[in-house]
Amino acid sequence: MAEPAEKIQDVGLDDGAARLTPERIERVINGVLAAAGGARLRSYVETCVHCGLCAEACHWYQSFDKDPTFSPAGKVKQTMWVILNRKGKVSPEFIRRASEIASTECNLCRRCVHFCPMGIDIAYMMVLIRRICHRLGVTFCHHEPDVGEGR
Amino acid sequence: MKRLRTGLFLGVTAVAWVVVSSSIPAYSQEDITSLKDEAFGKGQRPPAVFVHEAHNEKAEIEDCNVCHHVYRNGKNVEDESSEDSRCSDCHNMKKGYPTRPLMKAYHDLCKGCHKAKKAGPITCGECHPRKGASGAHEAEGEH
Amino acid sequence: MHTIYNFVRGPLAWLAFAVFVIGSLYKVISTLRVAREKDIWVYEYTSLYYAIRSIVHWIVPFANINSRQRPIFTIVTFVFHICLLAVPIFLLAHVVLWDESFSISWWTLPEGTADVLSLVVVACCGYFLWRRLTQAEVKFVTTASDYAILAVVVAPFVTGFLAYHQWLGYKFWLVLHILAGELWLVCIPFTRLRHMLFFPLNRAYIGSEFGAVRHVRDY
Repeated sequence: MAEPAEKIQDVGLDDGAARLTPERIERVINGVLAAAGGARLRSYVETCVHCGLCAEACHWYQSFDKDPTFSPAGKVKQTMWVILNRKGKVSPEFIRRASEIASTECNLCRRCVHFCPMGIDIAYMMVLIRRICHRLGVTFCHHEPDVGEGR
Repeated sequence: MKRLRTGLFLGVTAVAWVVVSSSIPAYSQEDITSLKDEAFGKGQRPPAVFVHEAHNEKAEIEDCNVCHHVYRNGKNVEDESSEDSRCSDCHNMKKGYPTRPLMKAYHDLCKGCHKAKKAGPITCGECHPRKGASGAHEAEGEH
Repeated sequence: MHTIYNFVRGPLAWLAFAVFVIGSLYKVISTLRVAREKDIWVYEYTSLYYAIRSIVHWIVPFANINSRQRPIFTIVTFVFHICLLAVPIFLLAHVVLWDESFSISWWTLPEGTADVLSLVVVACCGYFLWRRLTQAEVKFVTTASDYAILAVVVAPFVTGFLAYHQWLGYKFWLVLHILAGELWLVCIPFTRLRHMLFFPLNRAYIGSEFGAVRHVRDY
């Protein structure tokens, strides 16, 4: 297994996460899930048998020397599973990490879909995570210090 | 050495007994210890354990036609019995209207009564014990 | 004995099948209804041709890239799923029970074959357990519930095997076998075992999205 990836220093992530409160996180997550989290999200999460067959498909997983935290299902585990299990009650640090995963460790290429026997669209779930994080104003932004809360 | 010889003697006797006893047709009801019906051919499971005399004594069955029934026009004829014919004479192996197929006839008759009386075996292995299985003893002990 | 057996074979079996059938219908119908409300393009995109194309490529072994890249896993999982369904459906003792209750019967497996196939199921579960314990990418996404599900799946086969051989405690294993089978049925709609129901639905949608919208293959 490779060394854990170096923690990204990013003003968008760091400042965004610093502004968060648990109440706001819960409200935004549940708002996004109520509006956009429909049958597909439910079916994708509940049908995944945790077989790990998607890992080989992911170029992030391959590039990081088969580190399982970069496998497609591994990324869902660190983001959507937790959010659904805790019904949106997650910490600012969690959101920061979720944003990092969904925006900087997944290109939404959907190669994993070609590998999933259950036809689960993991990129779709990463898009939902991106959307939540964007709404919360925790968005990876390279070097633009002035990007604010989002909308 | 002596033990070996005794064992050999017992073994040969047992084999001889099985050979002799199976070559004589068991028509007497005292001799019936299993429901072996040739119509089944080589069944998947051994024939059901059924010691005719002990069973009827324990179950307090006096009338033959409790099991050896005669059906006419779909009705059980009360004072007639059929112990002079084989079950498979009426109950063939296939799904035959108006009678039940042979296996189902046995299962329904045996288990039906056992369930109604809340006594006797009702699970597969109690009647069809595998060779050397503990189920055989359980079945005999529970009539 | 009569009381316990009659209870697990009678009312409890009815309950298990009812929960399985009604629960499955509920899960599928409610998901399709939510899709109608919230994921409208599911119905827009889904095309029969691409749905069937996708499902066929995933229920035929070696018809997709993934299964060709992992021949051992592919063989194990196909053998496992075929035995998992074939053994309980075509087991002589089970068909006898169907015949007894509803006067319906069908072809049965030879007893010896069914016996071996049950062991094959157990062995395949052993392989899955080994993957969960040793393969990093599987281990990372494994939760306690995955082990529980594996146990629920293997239990009817282990207890059925022990009951069939009548070595010791026949009736105990038999009752446990029936209970394990009923637990299995009840778990299908309410655990990830429901992939049995949702596999065709997911595939139908994703196959259509990939085929009809993106114009690519999903296998």
